[in-house]
Amino acid sequence: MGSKVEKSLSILDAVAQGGANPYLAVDPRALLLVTVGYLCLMLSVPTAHIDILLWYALYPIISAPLLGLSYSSVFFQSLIVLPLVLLLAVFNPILDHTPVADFQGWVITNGWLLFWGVIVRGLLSMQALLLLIRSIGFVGMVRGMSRLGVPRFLTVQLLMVFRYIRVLIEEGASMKAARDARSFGRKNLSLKLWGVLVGQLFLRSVDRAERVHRAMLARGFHGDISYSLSSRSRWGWSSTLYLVVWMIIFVMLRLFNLSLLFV
Amino acid sequence: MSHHYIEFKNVSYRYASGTVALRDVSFRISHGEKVALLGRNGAGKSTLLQLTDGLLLPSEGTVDVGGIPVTKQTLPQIRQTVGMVFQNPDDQLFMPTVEEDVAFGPINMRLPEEEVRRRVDMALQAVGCSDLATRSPLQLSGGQKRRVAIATVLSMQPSILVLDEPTSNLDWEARDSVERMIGGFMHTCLVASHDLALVRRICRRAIVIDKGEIKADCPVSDVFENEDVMRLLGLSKASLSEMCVCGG
Repeated sequence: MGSKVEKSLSILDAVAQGGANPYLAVDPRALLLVTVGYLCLMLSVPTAHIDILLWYALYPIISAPLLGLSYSSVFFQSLIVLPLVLLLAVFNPILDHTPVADFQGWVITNGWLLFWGVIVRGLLSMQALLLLIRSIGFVGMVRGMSRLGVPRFLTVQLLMVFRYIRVLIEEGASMKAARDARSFGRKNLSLKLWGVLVGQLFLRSVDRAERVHRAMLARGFHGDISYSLSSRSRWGWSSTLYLVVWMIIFVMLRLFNLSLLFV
Repeated sequence: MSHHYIEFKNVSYRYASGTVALRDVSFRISHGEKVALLGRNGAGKSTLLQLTDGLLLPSEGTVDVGGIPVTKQTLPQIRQTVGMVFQNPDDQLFMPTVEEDVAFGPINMRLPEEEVRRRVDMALQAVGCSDLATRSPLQLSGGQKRRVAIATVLSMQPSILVLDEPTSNLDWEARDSVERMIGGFMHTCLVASHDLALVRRICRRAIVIDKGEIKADCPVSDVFENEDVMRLLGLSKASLSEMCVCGG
């Protein structure tokens, strides 16, 4: 298997398990609730109000070390969303020239405020999600969702989809290896061959999924995956404190513009 | 009277494509027997194994496991009785960690958590994989995956064990380990395998299947001494010598 594929698979495994060593033991449910609360309140801030939005950066900056992560690594990883966010934001300064402020001769338009607002919201959202996934892993996140009462059919589907991303990557890698072994150095694929390979990948993945399903049925699967053996964390005082403190902060930031204290 | 038996009566199976995989197959495997299911590729071995566990239901005839006919309604009981180990362990391992995979079956049996934990510990110990409990199955070697796959079935404490090519793609050490595990299983066992050395060492009886029909049902020794049976399997005395199939 090529090094790119192995790297993809190891990233996927790291995403699945998380694995930070937290300074503060926070139950995955608390982390999920805080993340959802953060996203809802932060995204409810009007886009042009960067002065309010920037205060929400306190959450990832302070939480990262508490959860055993480095904020700088979270920040740099969040930049992966930048191209998409830029694409969404770029038309604002082009289309909206309404002046809103003047700074030493520079006219600041509403379009530019919206532009930076979208960038900041995108990066902060990504950082919040990264904190969640890197601390408890995708699997931990889905377990937390299940324990919070999210319907089982949704959580099971999420787990299965995640599991099958790996299957897709492995099947695709083996097909690529087989093709490379007989392509005599040719790198480009014709459109027709692409179509054939994608179709075959789909069929092989469906076939593999069916075999896994049969194995599950053979062990009594009836549509419900329970987690009685999950590394079940207990909800302690630290989780309550984490949830309550951060929710109060998010609400206060939403209701009061702290930037006015410095004007 | 023991309930750990498998009985096929005039069983035929036709796939949706029209392929007849089994024709009028009848046999009985009694309690405690270790039986090898032999045949060439495409003979119908895997189909037969899946009929045992109710993953497929016969087109004609009946399959009886421990006095319970295999039907849609009896599948929960059948799957508590029959433990099936699939040919590809990657198809059998789908949970985030080894211990969750091994716990999957007992959890589906609605056992209390302490009992699930006890069975998981026992099953992992039986296959020598206790130290792999918190690992992701995706990161294991082939031999480890095979042993864990067996553990996922042992944790259900089946009365009948059905294995499809349990030693394929394994090195000699892993093969020995799997052989010891199967040999140590005290109940009824049906093993489909091309590994004649394994078959010779752990099974007393062989069912030879060819083009969906049972062609021979005989002691394992006959497989290596009866030329008609060997011909069904595409074997000759010379090929057996080359394979170094030693007595065990």
